[in-house]
Amino acid sequence: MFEKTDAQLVSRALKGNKRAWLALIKKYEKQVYNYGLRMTGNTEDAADLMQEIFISLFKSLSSYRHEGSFRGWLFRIAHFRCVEFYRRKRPEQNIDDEPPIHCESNGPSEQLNDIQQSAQVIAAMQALPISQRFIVEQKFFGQFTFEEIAEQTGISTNTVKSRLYAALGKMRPLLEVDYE
Amino acid sequence: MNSFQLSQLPDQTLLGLWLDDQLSASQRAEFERRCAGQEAFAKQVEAASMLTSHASVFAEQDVPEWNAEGTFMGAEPPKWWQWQGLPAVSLATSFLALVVVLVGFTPMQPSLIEGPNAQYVKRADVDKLVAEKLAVFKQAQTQAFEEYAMTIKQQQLEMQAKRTEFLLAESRQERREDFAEWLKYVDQQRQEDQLFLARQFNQMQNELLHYPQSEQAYGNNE
Repeated sequence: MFEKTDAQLVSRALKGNKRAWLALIKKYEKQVYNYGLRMTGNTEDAADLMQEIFISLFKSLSSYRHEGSFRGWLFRIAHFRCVEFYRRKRPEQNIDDEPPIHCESNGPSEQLNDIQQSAQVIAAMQALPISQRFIVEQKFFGQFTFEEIAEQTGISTNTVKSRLYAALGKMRPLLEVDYE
Repeated sequence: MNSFQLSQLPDQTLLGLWLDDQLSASQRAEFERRCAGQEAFAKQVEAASMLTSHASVFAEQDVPEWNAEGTFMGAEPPKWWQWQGLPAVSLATSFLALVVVLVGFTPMQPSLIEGPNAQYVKRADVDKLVAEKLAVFKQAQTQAFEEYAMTIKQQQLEMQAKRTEFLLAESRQERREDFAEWLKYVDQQRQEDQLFLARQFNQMQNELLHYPQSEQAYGNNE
């Protein structure tokens, strides 16, 4: 009943109200962390990415124009931070390139044994290039429309659909493993 | 949209419309036709369905402990005691106090007659007002004193009545007790007298009864 809207929290945070900023973080940190977990495939990178996203969000707060949802704007920033995160980690790899197959020591398969299905989805997403992974993430987990995803990534709606189509083709065999 | 246009619709567009639940009736028919007739398209739809299902049951992880406050890089608004003007105000008031002391300023009691509204107030009116106020005050004081005196008088009368009643009750009781004691004393005296007289009578009786024998005894001896 007394919950503040995102716009109110943003405007208070801009005036230097720390509590408003922390309330905004509290509201979205779980979504952002799980976004990072699915995008990076491990908890440490997810935590680092979440911190970078929120730092970047705070710096960009003054440029928020209250056009469209705050959540959409937040994930637009999250996408840019994610791309930058990958460029820094693997400078030789393009965001459209297939990621190298590797096994990380603290990967989801180790940490999420009790939630096999979720671990399987995370593992399957790691097989996608960042550009396709972001679209799968936003479409199926973020529940965004193609238009919103196109706005977040700065590409056309048709390109978003094409990338999703290609991503589905790559993910299907990986998701089918347990059913065979 | 005619059947030709529908058949020309790219797979990804049709899939996108299906995912957004925006298929028209004709598009849905085309969608179902492709699902039935094109294995590759059907598998893509299946993958999308699987992903939708996985996403709906995805176990969201709790956020680990992290320094959320560290992301706040703005300056918090200063508290009132941190107001920058406070030292300046303090300095100014100190300076004013010094000036007041040095000049020897003594605050004047604001006067009604000599004040800025003096032209609107007449001395007689003020005297009249003061006299009225005094009369009311006097009346109130007199009334209060009268009530006070009456109350004291009433209290004294009550006290006196109580004291008299107490003294009477006490003396009555004492007299009753003294009289009882006197009667008791008289009774005792009377009993002793009776006893004395009884003993006298007995002695006399004894003497009378034994007198002749003793007389004889005395006589014989003589």
